[in-house]
Amino acid sequence: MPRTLVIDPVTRLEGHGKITLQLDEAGVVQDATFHVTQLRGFEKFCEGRPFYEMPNITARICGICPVSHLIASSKACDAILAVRIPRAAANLRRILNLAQLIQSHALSFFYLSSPDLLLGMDAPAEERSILHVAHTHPSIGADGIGLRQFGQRVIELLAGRRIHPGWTVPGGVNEPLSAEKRDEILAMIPPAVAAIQRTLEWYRKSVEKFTAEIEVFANFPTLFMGLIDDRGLAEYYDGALRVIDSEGNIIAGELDPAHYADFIGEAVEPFTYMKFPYYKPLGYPGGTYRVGPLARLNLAGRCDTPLADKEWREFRAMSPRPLLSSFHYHYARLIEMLHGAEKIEGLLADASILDKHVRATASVNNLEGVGVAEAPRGTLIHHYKVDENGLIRWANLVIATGHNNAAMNRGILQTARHYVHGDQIAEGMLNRVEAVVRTFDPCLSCSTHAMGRMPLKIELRAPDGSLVREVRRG
Amino acid sequence: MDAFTTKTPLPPALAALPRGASGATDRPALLLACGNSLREDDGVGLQIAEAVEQLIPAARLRIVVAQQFTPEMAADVAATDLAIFVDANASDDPGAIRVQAVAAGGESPETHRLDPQALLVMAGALCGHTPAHAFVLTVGAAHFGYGTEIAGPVRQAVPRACRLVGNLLSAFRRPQA
Repeated sequence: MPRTLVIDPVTRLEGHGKITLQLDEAGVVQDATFHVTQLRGFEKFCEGRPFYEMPNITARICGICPVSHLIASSKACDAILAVRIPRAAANLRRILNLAQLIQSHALSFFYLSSPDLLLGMDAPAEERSILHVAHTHPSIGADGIGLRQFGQRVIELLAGRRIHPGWTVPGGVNEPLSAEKRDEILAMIPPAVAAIQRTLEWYRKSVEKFTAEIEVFANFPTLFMGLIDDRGLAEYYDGALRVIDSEGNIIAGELDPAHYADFIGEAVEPFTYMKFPYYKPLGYPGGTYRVGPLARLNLAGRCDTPLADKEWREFRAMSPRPLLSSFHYHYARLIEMLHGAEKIEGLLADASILDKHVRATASVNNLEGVGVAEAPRGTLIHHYKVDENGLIRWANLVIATGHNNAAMNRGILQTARHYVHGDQIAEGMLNRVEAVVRTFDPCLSCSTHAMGRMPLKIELRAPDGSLVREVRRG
Repeated sequence: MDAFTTKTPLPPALAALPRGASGATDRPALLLACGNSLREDDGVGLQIAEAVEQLIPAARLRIVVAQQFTPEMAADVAATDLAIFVDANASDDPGAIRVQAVAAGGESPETHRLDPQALLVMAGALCGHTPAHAFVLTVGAAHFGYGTEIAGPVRQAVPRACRLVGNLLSAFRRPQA
């Protein structure tokens, strides 16, 4: 008899999700779906608010990545003001964004995934926690909390507090950096770099134990998308969007992020509140792409800092083509942390970082603005339309986790088909199904920010699969 | 005179604990307050932290506020000899204050949300030091809906909670010369 397996809730994620596996009569997985069961409301209840409130409002979407929303939102507001913000302000925002990247990647790698990597996918569920890692691998656990503290402390020094800071504003930032704070950050960088390098060394040795998982953890061809700078190198704050295929061919080299709607479509599936963005020229689901650390390191020419470039070369040497297994998100995350720490050091070394002029002022000059930046999990897009008084008339947020939705669902199916068999289901099998989702580090709080009438299609099908009735809403 | 050398007595279980010079140092004590200021009474821990900050110098008490206790706070906990965790308590009557000594223990399965016992475990395991004294101070709360208002009885408990924090400092942390 056909059976349905439900993993609810999926643990060690940011937010709440559910996975449904549909088994056939022989116990073979026929289908798998990842349900995001939260419903938020930001795009709707922002309507009518003054645009300059948007950074602070949208930062509340998430307690893990508020800085990412602050930055994308502030950039959208810069576009509404039609200003070029002071160089020091742009670089301070870059530092903030990279600190956010480091603390978020540390959370994902050490808190959420290291129990699987250190203790094994088959370890008892009650042992797969950071608390247990603290007992069994204290030096790795200490590096994990140290790196998370590093990122959070940089955010606190720049923006006043670790979570939901309000320092990034339309036109720049609201306070320059002091020499004392700069020096405190600089002093923290060498130990942070050393901790990341220790972790990379351990990871490279231990990853050999996971060749089976690498083979089936969302290991299939997709497109990859991310920001690059004008030299084609990894970029996290500005730049153009590049799309490559699974062979490494650049199929779109320098897309203007402000025109994202021309090349990104958003499909909707009835089983989840999370949308399914796709690359429009290839349609849905053919235009499925991945974003985030794996995508960024696959598509960039290199990282542009010495230690990270050395790691990036080893990373890319694993395959002549882009790395396709999502298991490698873990490796990419570590390299990005290294790049982030080096880049912060470089930005702070420029004396202009202490400039006092950090904000451009203007009134509404455009009735529409798009802000794009690379969040830890991938490309984040904020798009606002305002009236002549600057009140929000319409908002659209395309979230990093959402970009990966189609690949995540497909990855769950691939992993489940390999590990789950109806008559012999072990904890480790189900943990691997969850673990493939964790490689993407989805932030479900961010990805379900929408509300209102979700476009929905309901199909009634006869036992032979023929369509009996279709109801559409939205 | 210290602003917190008040007449508010410590609960008997706490008063019986060894105090003063036994293990106390000049390192600042730590107050870790958690809560959500946008969820009504849940914000009472943050209000207590704000009120205490106005009254106790940073050299005596370091204050960290957050929406929840997270693993990296183990480093903060390991850097003190007196840790006071402050939170709302949905199990007690609104405004009721409870102060309990707490020790390392437990095996919380949570990954980015921990309880004080687990934080103490992590402080010892990862940083090699656990505070000599640790307490949880909670205020009973009833309303956790959307909003910034804290109900009257809960709000009225804030000054008394502050005095209790001061008493804990006086009792378990050696005053600076």
